[in-house]
Parts: sequence; structure tokens; C-alpha cells
Amino acid sequence: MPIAVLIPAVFGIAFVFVILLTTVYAPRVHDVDHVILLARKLDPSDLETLLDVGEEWRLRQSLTAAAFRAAQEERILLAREYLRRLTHNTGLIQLWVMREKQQLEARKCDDGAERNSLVAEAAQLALELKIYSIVAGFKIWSWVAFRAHLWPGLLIPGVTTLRVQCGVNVIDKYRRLTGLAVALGARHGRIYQDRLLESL
Amino acid sequence: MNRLDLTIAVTGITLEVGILVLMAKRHLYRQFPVFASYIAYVILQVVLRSALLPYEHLYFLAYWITAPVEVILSILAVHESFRRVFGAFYLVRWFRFCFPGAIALAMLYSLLTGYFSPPAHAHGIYSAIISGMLMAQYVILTISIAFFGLAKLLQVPWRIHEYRIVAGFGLSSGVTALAAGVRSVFVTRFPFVSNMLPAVSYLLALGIWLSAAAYRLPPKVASDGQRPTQEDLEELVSRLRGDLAIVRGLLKRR
Repeated sequence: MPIAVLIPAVFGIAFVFVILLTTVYAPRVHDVDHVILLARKLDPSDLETLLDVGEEWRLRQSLTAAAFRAAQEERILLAREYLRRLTHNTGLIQLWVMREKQQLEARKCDDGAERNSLVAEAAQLALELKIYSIVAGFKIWSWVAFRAHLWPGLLIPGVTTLRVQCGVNVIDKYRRLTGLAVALGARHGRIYQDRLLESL
Repeated sequence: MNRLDLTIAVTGITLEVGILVLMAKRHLYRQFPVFASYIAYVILQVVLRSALLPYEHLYFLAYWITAPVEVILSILAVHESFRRVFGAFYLVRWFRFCFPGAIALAMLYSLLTGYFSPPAHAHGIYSAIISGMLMAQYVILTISIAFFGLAKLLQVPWRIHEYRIVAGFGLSSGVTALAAGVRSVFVTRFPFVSNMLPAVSYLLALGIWLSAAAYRLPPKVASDGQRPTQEDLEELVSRLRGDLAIVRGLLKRR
């Protein structure tokens, strides 16, 4: 087939494929029970400690070069694990929020206006955190792939740079997202609020 | 112009007017000003070209002046929907420059290529416009693919208006690009694909946009973060009046 026809055909197939993915294979929304059941515990304080500039500076100053490299490798792996949990929980909250949005659109609730503002903010935060996780995930992947903890002294990357990526302060945004999730959960009852607080 | 062309043209302009009317009724032009401008421009363009049809030279000029503006507006309209859904991406500093920069570079490259190496017996400017218009179809198609790909990747909640606007542009551009490819390779061998299919796909796109314009979000959702529309306010006032009448009735009974 000539290239002049092949290129638009490939573009067309790609277009139909992504349309099918977003319509026929659209993500399945779920309810608050899924969030409670499937969420992976991530305390924002732990993340804050890991991404604390002062803590990293103290480690650099107090440890020997070899010990710092070993510590930094562990810290990078820990950051990767926290990021996975964050992405997982953000995805869960996002799918639940989509369900809440659908219910709002079907006018199944009385406190719609307030819930709508919570849902809209949560959806926006989830999107920002997902973009953050893509960028931060790529950064951590490159550190692990190129064994960045073994690089010469000053070139060893600081885990603390992950705190703000593409204008998103991960700790603030995640804290706010979980806060919103708990506030939305409170509308399903006190038990849900407590269980969400425990699981997130 | 044969009967089929006339039917397509009349159907097209009817659908375009319908979209514009519904957008005005639903106040969607506030949310999608570029898309509304695009539709209004296309209507004006059709009227102008139809009026100049008997004057060959004037029609020729009008066609070559109006066509590039339509292409630019269509790119901006797709970008508008993209930005409304993925506004968060513009927090990424490099994305703010790279995304429009890549579009501008692609367009510039095609314009220069068309201008400096036109086909035999063709004027450089017209060749540049055709080349740019063809590249614009690929740009729109790429933005549409990126839009739906990112929506899937980031599990963005379904947003009827933006999704349908982008889907319409993507469909129309994809078929137009394919028709251009078929015409450049097979010349007049498949007249339906190279001549009629782009028009049919554009009508389909208009249908998709009409369905988007006809869709009305529930007031609670529609009013979120935006100024309430006149209709919402009137509905609220009439409801309050009804409630007040009930309260007055109760007070009178007591």
C-alpha cells in the first residue's frame, strides 16, 4: 500500500482504537466500599518525612559516602513504593468520585450542590496527582535504571526533588484529596468516614 | 452543483445553524467561545462562497482567503476542548511551550515545504495553503488521539461536550486526510472516497456536535463553578415564589 494512503489509515485506526478504549472499555466506576477494601495505607506524614530537605541534608552530612549511597538507594525504593500506593489510591478515589458524579447527574441526592463542589475538586486533584505520578514515576524509573545512587557524590539525586513536580506539591495535594474523600465518605455515614480514615 | 452536492450543502448549513442556536440557548458559547466562533465562521463562509459562485474570479479569491482561517479556527477549537479537560497539564512548564510549539513547527514545516517545492504548474502560495491544510488535518487527528488516549490513561470522567466536539473534529479530519491520500495516489479512481466521503464525514461530525449542543447538564452540575444562567435564575425565582405562596397560605389559615 502506498505511504500516502498508509499514513492516514494508521492515524484513522489509532483514532478508532482510542475512541473504543474510552467508550466501550471505559473504566468501571465503583463505590466507597471498594476504596475502603482496596486502598493501600499511605500516611502523608511518612511521605513528608521522606521528602524532607533537612533530613536528606542531615544524611548527606552525617553519613560516609558509601553509607549515604546505601541509604539513598533505600530512600529511592521507598519513594517508588509510596508513589505506587499514591497512584493506586488516587485511581480508586477517582473512580469512586466518578460514581458520585454520575449519581449527582441523575439527581439521586438532596445535598447536590455541596457534594458537587467536593466531587469537582476531588476529580481535579486526582487528575493533577495522576499527572504528577507519571512525571515522578519516570524520574524514579530513570534513577533505578541508571543506578543513580552509585553516581559520584554531588550527582547523587535528591529524593526531595520529588516533593514538587510540574507545579504539584504532592503532599499538600494528596492530603487534600484524602480529606475530600473522607468528607464525601461522611455523607454515607459515620462508619464510612471512620473506615476511610483507617484505610487511606 | 448537482442535486447530491446541493442536498449535502443544505443539510450541512441546517445542522450548523442548529448547533449555533442550541449553543446560544444553552449558553454553551461562554464555555466554548472558539468552537462557537468556528461554527459561525463556517456558516458565513458557506453563505459568502454561495453568493460568489457565479463570479469565478471572486469565488477563487474568496475560497483561498477563507479556507486557511477555517483551518486555524478548527485547530484552536480542538485545542480549546483539550485545554478544558487537561488544563492540569498546563501546570507542567515544558508542556505549555512544547505542545503549541510542536503544532506551530509542524504547520510551519508544511507551509514552507509547500511554498518552496510546489508541484509543476502550481503557484507557491496555493501549494503552501494546500500543504498547510493537509497538515492541519493530521494535527487535529493527533490532538484527538492524544485527547482520548490521555482520557483513558488518566481515567478522566466522561465530559459530554468536550468529548463529542473532539470526536467530531477527529472523525472529519481522519476521513479528509484519507481522502487526500487516496486522491494523490489513485487520482480519480475512487471518486466516492476522494470527493464524497469527506463531505459525508463532515455531516456526521456536525451530527455529533449537534448531539453535544443538545445535551444539557443537570442544573446542579452545570452551575458548578460558573455563573448561573438566566434560565437557572428564572427557575429558582419561580420555585421561591411557589414556596412563598405556600407559606403565605399557611399563615393565612392560622
